[in-house]
Amino acid sequence: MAARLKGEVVSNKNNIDTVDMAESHGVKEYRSGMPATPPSEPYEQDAGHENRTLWGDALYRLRRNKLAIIALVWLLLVGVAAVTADLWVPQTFGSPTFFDTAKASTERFLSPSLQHPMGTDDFGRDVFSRVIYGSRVSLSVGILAVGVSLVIGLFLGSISAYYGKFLDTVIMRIADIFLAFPYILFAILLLSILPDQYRGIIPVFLTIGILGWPSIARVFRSSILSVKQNDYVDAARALGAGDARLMMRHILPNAIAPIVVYATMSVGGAILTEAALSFLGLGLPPGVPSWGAMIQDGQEYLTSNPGVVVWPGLAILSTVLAFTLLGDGIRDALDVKLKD
Amino acid sequence: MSGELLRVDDLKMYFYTRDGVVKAVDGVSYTLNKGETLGVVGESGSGKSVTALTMMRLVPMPPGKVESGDVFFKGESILSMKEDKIRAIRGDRIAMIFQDPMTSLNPVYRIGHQLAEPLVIHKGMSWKDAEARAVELLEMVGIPNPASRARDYPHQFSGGMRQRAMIAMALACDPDILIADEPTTALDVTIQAQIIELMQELQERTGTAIIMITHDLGVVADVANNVMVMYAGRPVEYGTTEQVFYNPRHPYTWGLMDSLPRQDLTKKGALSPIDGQPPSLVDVPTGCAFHPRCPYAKDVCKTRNPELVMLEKGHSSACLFAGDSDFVRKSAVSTGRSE
Amino acid sequence: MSELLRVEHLTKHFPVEQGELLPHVGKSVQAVDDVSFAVEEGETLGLVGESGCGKSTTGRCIIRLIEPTDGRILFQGEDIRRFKGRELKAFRREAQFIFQDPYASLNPRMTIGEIVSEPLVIHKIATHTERLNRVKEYLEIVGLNPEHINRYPHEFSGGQRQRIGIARALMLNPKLIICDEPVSALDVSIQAQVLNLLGELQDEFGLTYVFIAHDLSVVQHISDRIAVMYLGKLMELSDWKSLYTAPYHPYSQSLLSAVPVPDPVKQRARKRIILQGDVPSPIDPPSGCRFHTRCPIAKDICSQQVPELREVAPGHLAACHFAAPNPIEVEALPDPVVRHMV
Repeated sequence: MAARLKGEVVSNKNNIDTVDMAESHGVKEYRSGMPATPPSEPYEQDAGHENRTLWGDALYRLRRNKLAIIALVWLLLVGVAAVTADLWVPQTFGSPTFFDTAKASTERFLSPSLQHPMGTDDFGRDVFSRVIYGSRVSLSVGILAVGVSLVIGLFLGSISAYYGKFLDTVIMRIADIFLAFPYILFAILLLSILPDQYRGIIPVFLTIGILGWPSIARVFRSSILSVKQNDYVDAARALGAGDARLMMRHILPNAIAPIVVYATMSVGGAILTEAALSFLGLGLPPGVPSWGAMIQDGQEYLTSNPGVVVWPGLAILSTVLAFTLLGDGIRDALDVKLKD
Repeated sequence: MSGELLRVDDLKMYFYTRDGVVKAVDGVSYTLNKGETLGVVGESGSGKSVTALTMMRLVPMPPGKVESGDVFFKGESILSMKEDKIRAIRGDRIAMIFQDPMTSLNPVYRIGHQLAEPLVIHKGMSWKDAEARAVELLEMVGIPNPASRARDYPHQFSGGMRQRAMIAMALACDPDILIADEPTTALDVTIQAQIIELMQELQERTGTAIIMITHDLGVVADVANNVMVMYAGRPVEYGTTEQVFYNPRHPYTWGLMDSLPRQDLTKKGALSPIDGQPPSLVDVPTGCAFHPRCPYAKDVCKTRNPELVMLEKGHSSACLFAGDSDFVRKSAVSTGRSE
Repeated sequence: MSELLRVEHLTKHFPVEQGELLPHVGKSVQAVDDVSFAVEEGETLGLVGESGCGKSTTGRCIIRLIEPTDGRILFQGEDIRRFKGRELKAFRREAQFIFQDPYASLNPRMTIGEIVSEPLVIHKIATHTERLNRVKEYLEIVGLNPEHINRYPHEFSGGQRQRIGIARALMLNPKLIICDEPVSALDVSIQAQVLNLLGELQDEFGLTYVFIAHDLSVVQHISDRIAVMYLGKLMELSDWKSLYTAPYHPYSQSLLSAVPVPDPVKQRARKRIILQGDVPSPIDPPSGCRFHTRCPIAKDICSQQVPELREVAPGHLAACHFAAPNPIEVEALPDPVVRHMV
């Protein structure tokens, strides 16, 4: 009886024990409530069935979230504008940096017009052009900073969750120490000791990124710990899966979801930090258009020509808000995991 | 002379959702008299819980909507009552206990406080008097050292004790009706026996009518006077406990009885399960909701939705053939009394 | 019939966390304590008890999902606790596990084809096409449509998900399957389907089951022999019929008495034994016989001396100082109305 399945060994490379099931059972109707179809009738084909993965489901739900879609569209617009800026911005509106001292006095603080949709600043430069170029800085710093945080945070978070015990305690306490520091002050400290010649995008996003890893590590660690408790991880172990397979195939793919949300929203935070740092003069070198720097430059004209402050301010607001709304939308979309 | 406390009259309540119309309650009728226990039996998705929630007007409307029918408490329509009137009834005249004792008690308030609350709200007692009465109630439900336990928080109570506390809270104002929604499902079987016995003792003492919602036929056999079997939001059979258990007249009831493993049977054989699965309430089959799974289904079952038809006094079934004397049950298991 | 599995003095204590940096000192949850039993090839041993009795932990220790604190687990004569690496992996092909929760036991991000074929992938069996065929075969055997191989778990109902889990457990042709409450989360009508399926598969493939459940009716239906556990200890072990007609342990008797029978006249006529109080904490179990705090017939010796599991009738073991058929005299119990928790 026990030898039933280990019937004839079919000659194949791997020598699995196999028996032609249909032959051994014949046509049988199982009284387990779901009658087996006799071989003469084929099963309904699944060809037309769309694959409804968890991510696919989430995408579908996301598409129905109007706010999130508006946010996404907005970000795409800004992104495209930033990337293609060189092709159309300076030609149509003027250079963001160059100014003609001769024309400066006549060009300064022009009101918004077709030629200058956001007017000009105190040097006669087109504000719109500067805002577009500023978006390059903001978006790249935002995304790269979060990228750095992810690299450090995902790594430390996963080894913390995986090895547990002492290593976990050490890493988490270090994370706590980082979090206890006032974020901005720390960034200011790091950037202010940097000699001028090294200033640029890299120190900025590195700084923001290094400061951001603890939150990501914590979220990831707790996500892993919670995923680890699921029976399917035990099931894989019971089947003989090794640690590597458990981690890569079962734990990580399921633990990554909250990180997607968190990372998206963090980009907004990173942009704000960059703006603040630029405002304080610590960000990029002077001359490079950055929204924060623009606000700094324009603040003395706040009452007379508010445009130079308001437009970059709105740019920051709308972009950060868009990232936040998008992150919110992704969270809602991923939240309803099981249809029942 | 038992008075009619509750009358449900062809109640229909649907949820209007993005995925479609969920026909959660689709034509439920029954009456409940003083001192009686009604067992509402069904599997998940049968609508048994939602019916009770609808009666208590605890269902958010939207997305819920009462399509038709009504619920009468002591002759008065609950569904037409003003909000403050129904609130006065809830907790005072009709009380409800839920399945999960872990989440039905508020974790940040002491037990004594939570028990006292309905007394303060409905009976106008002072907090001091109410908390004293709460201690009495805890003793009544068998909690030792009630005075000191009243000062505990829910997390300090075990599951069984929490359920007892819930019962005490429900009975605090001496309600006319107690609705118990799967009160023992989350409990161990020996604790379940304690709770069932407690509810019966209290019912004897206070004459409260009980609506016992459960999927466990054993519990129903134990406590219920009348039984209503529900499927896909509709009642399919209704009668006294003896009638439904010893002379069931609906294929779903037969299927349920036959699929139960029984510890009192001395002969073992394969169970006779019902094929297929319960339908989603968004997509209820046309005609008789049970027809896709029914071994006796005929063509007419696909088009006509059967109503509950009276077979004998107090016993009705929603099967088109229930009344035919040659409509017999083709099963190997008999649940009749051994003669 | 040979003996497939023998568990000897199995013990599992879980440390209760005291601090993070310092090694834990102090209490532990005594989940399983000195449990011994054997299972013959082809039979079904039911392991029954209420929450906290250690039945699930025992099941997981048998296939080393959890590492026991002490004891021996002999599978086909070999102590599997000594297995490492390749030997352990080979053992995994012989003993499998079916989980209770149909929602948590399948990886939501894998198709059911991937889930069911994973055992073959892990053990590097068969080519891709052969695996696919085998997966389809087994899906059909458990009553699912093999064309749904590319669907995801959340597209299936609870009962269907359990079937997927069963198919997965069968893929390596194991000899032993530990079923941990496989039907508890299912509706009554679906329970019956899955129970029948398990029965058929046992006949078809010559499987041996350790069937863990809290529902006595279900356990009685599927088991040849039944072991009753309470607070980590084995209270009674016998064939199913003897247990149900004449249990020797007061706990077993109380347990049976507490399960309502779906027959109104019978049920209402039964004399019932209602136990007092709640199940004690496994961190601090009662001294002597762990059941003595709730036992209606407990005497002094019960709190002082741990009763041994000994043979009280041929093939029937019980751990009670006063073991006898139906040891609790129901007539002698006080009137239910006066009964209070102690």
